[in-house]
Amino acid sequence: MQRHDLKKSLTSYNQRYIKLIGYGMTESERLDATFVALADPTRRAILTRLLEGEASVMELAEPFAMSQPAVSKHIKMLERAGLVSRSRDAQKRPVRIEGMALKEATDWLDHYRQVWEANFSRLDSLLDELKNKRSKEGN
Amino acid sequence: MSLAKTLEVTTPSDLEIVVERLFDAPQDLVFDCYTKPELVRRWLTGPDGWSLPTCEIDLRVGGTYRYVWSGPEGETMGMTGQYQQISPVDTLVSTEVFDDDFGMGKMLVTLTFIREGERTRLQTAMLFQTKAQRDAAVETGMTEGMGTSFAALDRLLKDIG
Repeated sequence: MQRHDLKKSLTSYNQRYIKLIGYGMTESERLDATFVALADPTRRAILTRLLEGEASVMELAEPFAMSQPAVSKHIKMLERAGLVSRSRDAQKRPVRIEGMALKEATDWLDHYRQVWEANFSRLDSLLDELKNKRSKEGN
Repeated sequence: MSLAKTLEVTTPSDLEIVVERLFDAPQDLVFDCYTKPELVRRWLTGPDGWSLPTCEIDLRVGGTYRYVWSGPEGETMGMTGQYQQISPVDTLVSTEVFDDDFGMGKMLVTLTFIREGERTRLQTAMLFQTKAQRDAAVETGMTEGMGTSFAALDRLLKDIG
């Protein structure tokens, strides 16, 4: 009777955290696009390259054994996720990295971490207390 | 003094989230903090402003544990777990299901307490159920599990860093 499905539980698991930290669905959907874009090694490599400064599609395609259209496709996905933008005016239409979407994704992960960090830092204190108690009893 | 207590969040597969952390205490104490209600309720309280008023543990295979968190606005979040395997001070395996996840399935949670001298590395592996990934993805509008994103983001941050 119960539907055990992964995506739902994973989604709901994450949404619970999102709920806990006050994120709405819109952000969640946007983050999803960001994370999908980040899930691919080629796209991560492109982003890493763009941290050094803007570059043309041709320059970005160079290190990869793939065609320029294939690289363009990756760039489009990054663009949709708001991770990069392309200038309209210049002839080469260089690609540049956009910090905000990445920051949002990082912040989100930070919130997730913070819940764990908060728990674990309390656990640290508790463990210190227990260790002290034990060493006193031992002496 | 300079103990690195960095929290690591990774996703070794589509179905898992693994959280790892080093603690400056022996294995048995860390194990106690996970299995004795009077200790658990002192730290597993979640985000700021939340507490764990209900914390009941029946520590035996097949035994259940019940946690209910309470938030600053009076909201509650409950979870029931059932122990599948108990190897004192080394491993705790249990299934967990949250109250508001009706129909959403269980997680299999494996806690591994790894001795590193006087310290303990704690690994929390959360395994989610496998069925109908594609269908659920369509249903929820999530084209990829959020879980995989942790690994992706971690790798990116590593690349950048």
